[in-house]
Amino acid sequence: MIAALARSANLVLLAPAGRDAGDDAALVARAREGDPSGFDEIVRRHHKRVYTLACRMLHHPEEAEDVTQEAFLNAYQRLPQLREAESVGAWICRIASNLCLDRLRSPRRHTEVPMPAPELAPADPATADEGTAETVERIRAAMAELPPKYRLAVVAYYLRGHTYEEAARLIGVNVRTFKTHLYRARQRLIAMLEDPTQTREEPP
Amino acid sequence: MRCPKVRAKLQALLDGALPATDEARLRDHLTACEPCRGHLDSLRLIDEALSTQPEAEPRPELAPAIMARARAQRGRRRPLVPVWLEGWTLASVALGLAACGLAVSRFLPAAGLPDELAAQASGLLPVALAAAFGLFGMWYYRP
Repeated sequence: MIAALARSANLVLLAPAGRDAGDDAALVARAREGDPSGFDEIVRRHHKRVYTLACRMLHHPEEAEDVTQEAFLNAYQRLPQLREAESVGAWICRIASNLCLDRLRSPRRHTEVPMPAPELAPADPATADEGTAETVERIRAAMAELPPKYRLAVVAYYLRGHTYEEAARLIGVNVRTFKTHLYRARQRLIAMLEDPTQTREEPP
Repeated sequence: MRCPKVRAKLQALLDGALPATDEARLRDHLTACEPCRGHLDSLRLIDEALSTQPEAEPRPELAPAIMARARAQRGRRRPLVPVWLEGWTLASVALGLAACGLAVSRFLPAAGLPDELAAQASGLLPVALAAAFGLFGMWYYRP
C-alpha cells in the first residue's frame, strides 16, 4: 500500500505532464535554432533524473556525474536527429542507460564503490520498523549485485513511478522483454534476501 | 494451482492487474500456503524499498558544467542539412542521386563525348555521386 501510494505520488509530482511535454518540445525547438538558453533549460529540468538513473546503475557518484555529462553532450550533438521532441527527457535517459551498460560491461571497470549515505537513504522511519528498515537497506544494496540488464529494468521502472510501457520505452526495449528482465530481477533480489551469500551471476 | 504458477502471478496481484477469477484462486492458495505468502511479502518489500528511494542529489556544479561544455561545442557544428534530411531519407537521397547519375550518363555520348570516355563516365558517375553524398553524411553525423 505504501509503495503504491509512493508510486502514485511520484506519478503526480514527477512524471512529465502534458504541459511540460509541450514545454520540452518548445525548448528543443529553441535549442535547434541556436538559442543557448533552450538547452540550458533542458539540462536544468532533466539532469537530476539522469543523474539518479546513473547513480542507481553505477553505484559510484563520480562515474554517475561523468555519464550524466556525457549523455547530455551526446544528446546536444544529436539534437537534430531527435524525432519526438516532447520526449527529450526520456531520450536523454535512454542515452545515459546505454552509457551505463557500456561502463558496467567494460572489463576495465573497477569495483563498484558503495554510494554514500545521501544517495542510499534509509527507509522512512515513520513507515518502517527497525527490521523492515534493515531489509529495505539490504534490498537497495542488493541492486548492485544484479546483472546490468536486469538492474537497468529495475532502475527504469522505479525511477519516477513509470508504467511498464513507459519504463520499457525509456530504456529502448520491448515491453515483453522488459517484463521478463524485471521478473528475473525481482526473483534474484528475493533469492539474495533469503541467502545474502549469493554472488552476482551473468544471465545466460 | 501449484506454487510456481502462483509465484509467477504474485507481482500481477500486487499491481492489481489480475482478472477477478485468477485473483480469487490465488488468494485461496495463499491462505493455505505459507511459503507463497512469504514470497508475496518479499515482493511487497522490494516494491516498497525501491519505489520510496529518494532521487540522488547531484552537486550544484553539475548542471552549470554541462551547460558550459555544451556552449563550448556550439558553433562547431552548423545545421547544414535540414532536420528531416537524415537516416533513411539520407539513404534515399543517395540512391536518387545515383539513379540521376545513371540517367545523365546515358546521354553522355549524345553530348559529344568520345565513346570510351562516355563508357567510363557512365559507370563512375552514379557511384561517385552516391559516394560523395555518403561521405558528406558520415562527416555530418560524425560522433
